[in-house]
Amino acid sequence: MTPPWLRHLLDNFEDEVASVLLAAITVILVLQICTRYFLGDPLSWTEEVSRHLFVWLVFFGASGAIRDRSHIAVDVVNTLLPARIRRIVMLGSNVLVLFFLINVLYWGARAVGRMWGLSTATLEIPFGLVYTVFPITATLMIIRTLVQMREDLVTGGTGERQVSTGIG
Amino acid sequence: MKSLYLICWGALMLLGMPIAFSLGAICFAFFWIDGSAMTSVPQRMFAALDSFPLLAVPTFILAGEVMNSGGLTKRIVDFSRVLVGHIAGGLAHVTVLANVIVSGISGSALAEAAGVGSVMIEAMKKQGFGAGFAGALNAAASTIGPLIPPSIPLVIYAVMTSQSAGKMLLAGFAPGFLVAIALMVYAYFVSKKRGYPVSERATWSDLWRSTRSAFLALMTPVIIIWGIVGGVFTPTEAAAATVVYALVVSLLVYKDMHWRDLPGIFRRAAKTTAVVGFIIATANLVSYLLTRERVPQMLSEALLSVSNEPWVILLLINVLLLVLGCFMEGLAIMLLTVPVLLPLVTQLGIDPVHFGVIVVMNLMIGLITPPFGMALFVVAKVGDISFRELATTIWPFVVALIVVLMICTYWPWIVMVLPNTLLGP
Repeated sequence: MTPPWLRHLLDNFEDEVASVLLAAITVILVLQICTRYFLGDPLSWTEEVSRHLFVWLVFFGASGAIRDRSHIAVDVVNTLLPARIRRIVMLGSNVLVLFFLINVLYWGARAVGRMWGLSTATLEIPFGLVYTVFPITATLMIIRTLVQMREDLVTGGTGERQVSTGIG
Repeated sequence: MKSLYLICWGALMLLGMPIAFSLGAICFAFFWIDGSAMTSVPQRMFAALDSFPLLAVPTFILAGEVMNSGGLTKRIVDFSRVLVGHIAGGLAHVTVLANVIVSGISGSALAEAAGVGSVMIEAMKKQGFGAGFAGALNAAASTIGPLIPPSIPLVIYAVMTSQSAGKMLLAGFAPGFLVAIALMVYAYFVSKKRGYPVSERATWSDLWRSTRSAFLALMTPVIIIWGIVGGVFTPTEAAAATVVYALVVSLLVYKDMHWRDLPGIFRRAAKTTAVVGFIIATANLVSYLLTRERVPQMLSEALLSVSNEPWVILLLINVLLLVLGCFMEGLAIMLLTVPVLLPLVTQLGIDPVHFGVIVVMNLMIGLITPPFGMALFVVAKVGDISFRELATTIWPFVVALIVVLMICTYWPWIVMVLPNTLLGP
């Protein structure tokens, strides 16, 4: 009943936002290089905008990473546990994730209000606007976590985790 | 009481709670029980990410993705094969050399383990190398990636300790080459003993053909290093320039990549960036807590009561990091331990740049030590080798890397000579 494109968007919304932000950061950095070296007249806003977009990219992408379970975790012990205990452990761990996220939502929303009066250095937009990333993505992450908890209850927490992300 | 938090956090992590979230949750728990204000928490997470040099991280991750998808890695492997395939140990040397060259483009060991590993392990197995040896060698050689510039962990270290990113990157050069030499020496003797096959010596026309085919890919490290050393680019800009260059080469010249591959590449790079960045954000909360609770002072007093000889302290730190590296993810270790250890280390007169290289080398060894070595997981996956087998064959390589770590720890000159001569002390 949901059309496939809507399904895709619902599933991958944060990932799409994050990859568009990454593309935007790349373009802005290239713009910065070009205006400095070829025109000798660097744009003033590129550094600030790219930094702030990076923060947005991380928080949106982190929400997408909840959905496909690609956050780095040590799950060797976990997989050795009997299924019933594993289910409880995963539930408990997600309750703590929710505890963290609800705090980020609450304190993030308050930070938005407090920072609204401050302006960013070059674009002079309210800093609070940049900080809206906290309540927005915390809400998304809470929804993703709740969906995942329901999934775990159904499948018994056998959802596969990705391994190849990370640095080093 | 305070160590209780540490135990709780360790338990959460071992039970499979994602590291970034367990760090964040434990901090809020501390603040709640402690009754302290949490208004500054969003600012601290924001500040951890809001840094221009740190933007080199997403861009280098992106460059690594483009390089693997665009056929650059494959061409570099071919080129290496022609160059060193005939030496005893054949493809083993090819693996190491390919990793050295790819290191000049990619700043991540895991990207290299996936990129070079997926080509080389299969080739080595087909030629009769033991699968365990091939996999372990590829995992060990991938650790050269973050040592030879560019390097994602060295950039993160530079940002968190306010060191020059350019200097940090250059300091990784010599250790990277030392690791390569150590691995080649070990591979040479093992291959001779076990009689592993050698490829035929390449003809001049082969050399000419593969050089021409790989030439544009080989130019990528030159751009990055020339850009950073020559002061043309900041590391962040160099990373962006690399992405553009690699995209142009793979889309328009090599044509190994199609425009329709781009969304997938950006999505994968964004995902990795977010996972890494989120750990950086929440680890900053913990390091604030640790500083506020005067943990650095306590730890340095404890360590100094053992000895105030720099070499003993460095040895203790190395042991600590190696042990942690066996059980924990590298980035989190670095983000949590460096703020705690750095005051002590600088007090003893150790250069923060030198110390950064030591820390990153420890993390690299952590990547290949079972049971939680991420590079081993990647290699096991791309090379279709059992993790159990890798967990036994990896140890000689771990020893080789520890030898290099010791050389770099106790002979700072070798680490510092390049950054000091090129960028000034």
